[in-house]
Amino acid sequence: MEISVNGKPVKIEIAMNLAQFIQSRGFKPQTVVIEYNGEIVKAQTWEGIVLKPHDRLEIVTFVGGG
Amino acid sequence: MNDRLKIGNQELTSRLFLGTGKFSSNKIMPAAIAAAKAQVITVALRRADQAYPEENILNFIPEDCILMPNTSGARNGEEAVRIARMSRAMGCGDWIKIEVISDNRYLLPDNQETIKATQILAAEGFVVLPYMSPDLMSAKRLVEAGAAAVMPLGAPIGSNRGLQTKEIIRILIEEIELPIIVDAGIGKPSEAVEAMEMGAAAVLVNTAVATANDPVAMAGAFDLAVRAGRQAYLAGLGRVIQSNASASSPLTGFLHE
Amino acid sequence: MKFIDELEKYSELDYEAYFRKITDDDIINVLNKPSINRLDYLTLLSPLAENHLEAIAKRANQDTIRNFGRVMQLFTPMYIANYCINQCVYCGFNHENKLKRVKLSMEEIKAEGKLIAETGLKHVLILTGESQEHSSPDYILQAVENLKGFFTSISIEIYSLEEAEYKHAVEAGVDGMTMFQEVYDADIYKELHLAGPKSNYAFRLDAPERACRSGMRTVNIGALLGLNDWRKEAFLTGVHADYLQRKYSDVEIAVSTPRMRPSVGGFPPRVLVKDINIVQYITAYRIFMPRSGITLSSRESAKLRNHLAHLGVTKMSAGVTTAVGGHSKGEEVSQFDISDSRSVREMSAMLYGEGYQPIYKDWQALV
Repeated sequence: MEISVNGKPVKIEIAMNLAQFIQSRGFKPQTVVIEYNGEIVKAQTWEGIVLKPHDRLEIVTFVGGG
Repeated sequence: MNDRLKIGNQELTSRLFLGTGKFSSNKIMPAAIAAAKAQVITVALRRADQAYPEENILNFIPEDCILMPNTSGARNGEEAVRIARMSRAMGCGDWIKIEVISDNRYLLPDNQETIKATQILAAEGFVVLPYMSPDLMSAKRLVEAGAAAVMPLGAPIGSNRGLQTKEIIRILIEEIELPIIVDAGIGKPSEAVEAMEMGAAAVLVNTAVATANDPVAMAGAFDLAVRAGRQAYLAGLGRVIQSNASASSPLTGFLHE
Repeated sequence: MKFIDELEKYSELDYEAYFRKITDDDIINVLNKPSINRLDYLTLLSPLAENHLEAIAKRANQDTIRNFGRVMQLFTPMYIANYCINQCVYCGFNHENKLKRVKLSMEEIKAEGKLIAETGLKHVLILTGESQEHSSPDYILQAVENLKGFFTSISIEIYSLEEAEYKHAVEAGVDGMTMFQEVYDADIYKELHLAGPKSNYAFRLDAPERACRSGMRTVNIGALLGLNDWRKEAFLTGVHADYLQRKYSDVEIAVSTPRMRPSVGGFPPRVLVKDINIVQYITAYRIFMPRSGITLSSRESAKLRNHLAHLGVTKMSAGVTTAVGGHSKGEEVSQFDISDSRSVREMSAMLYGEGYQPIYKDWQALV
């Protein structure tokens, strides 16, 4: 299935929840915030969110800025 | 001296806010923050890179600093609100610097959209510090909207041109009861002194420190400048008018005729 | 929030202690600030500051010329009725005073207006006592309607109205409202205003704010000097003006510095306010509120008024009578005795002589 991550299409081969997806991509969970289909989702809820086709993820983190 | 800057529920001893953009390496940041004696540090929120997860910038900022994420990238109030909410979800406190820019030529902020975002976020319990084009009526509306401080620009972002908007900032300092923090434009420590001498509550500096040949030394220079300017402001600048009770009194002499 | 809450902040202020701590240096420091705050203003009102009056006057003179130019706005009061149900012990129109009560008919008001207009004046201030029976808001607005043709600016100095009534007045063509609190000290206020609606301190205190909200262009406040320690009253008048100007930045807030004059009731001033005190008040206020108008009435002598033209005053009355219909029918019984009876022509000549241009018409509504 295909989902959108930060505006780009991403193919996923096996079914997984959000926590598994974040880990598989190499993100450090404590350094990112995720918007799942337009809603901010807390880290505690990631395991309960199973990714479906056409889901939209925004994964953001802090960087340098003034 | 017990001169504290109160913003929201925080009492700060440092009046130099430091931005973290444009440093040649994150590794230099802890030393620069220490040299600046800064307590409020700005960061930005960006999409996390999938291929190369960024090194976590928070590891380079001392834990006792107040983190002030900005909403850079927002082109209107709505986007600023969205970025602010995501920033707060990072769990690093309630402070937010609102920055709404829809002008890519000069990077000047959109006051009207900034006011909208301030209103929404203040109602949600954020400590809101809006970055703005210096303008009295807009500043008053920001106060009404619930801002915790007002941050007028001295000159366009990154221009290092100093206090070009000095006269309007002076009026804001006089008329607005909230702390006025000069954000953007300050390129040299002497300009930070000038802002603080006028009675600015603090200055926010980024480019001038981050792009100096020696950012740590420059951070220290800004610390000295901000403290010198503040002390001069508190001391009261020199007199021009002297009393001349004994000299001839053309305006009030009639009272003694 | 209302001004009465703001005033509360100063209820515990120990003026004497504050004045005792002030040094000569403090006063010079205040004079050297580009703009001064409320407590700085109080510093300039201190007894010690009297020793620095020439320096204060110099700054006030410069601030006034920079902000207003070398001009003086002229206006005249027009008393149209003296019926009054209030008992203000110091006022000639006091309900208890035996005097001939009159009100002008609309024809008489027009005749009065015509005579004033012939002197060249374009700003008029309508005054009445408080009487719903004889000088109701309707009567006053009818007078405004009849005077519009003669004047470009009509102000009212009448009893306090509700906000909706002020709105009606603005719609009828009134652009200025004058309302003296008389005395900001609530206890003294109570002693001096024995009966009638005016005995309601809080309602009167809020009246300028209601006028600001109603779309009035100018709101002129003041304390009647001679009823309480003038330094406190001058300070609180300044605080009131500052409060209004910050909250209603589109309204021109002005102050008057009226000093008690002899009147029919024969109530002597409780406190002597000397010329030097008036000078200190006006000059200190000018430095505190550099853009604010200061109105000076003909209660003051010609000589003092000539000097005060240089020290911060921006608006003066001319060709004054404080009797009802005094312009057309001559003096009968007046609210108080005036002390400068110069005509508009004489005032103009004096102002030119002092280096100021007299202004008869400051502005005119385009609708």
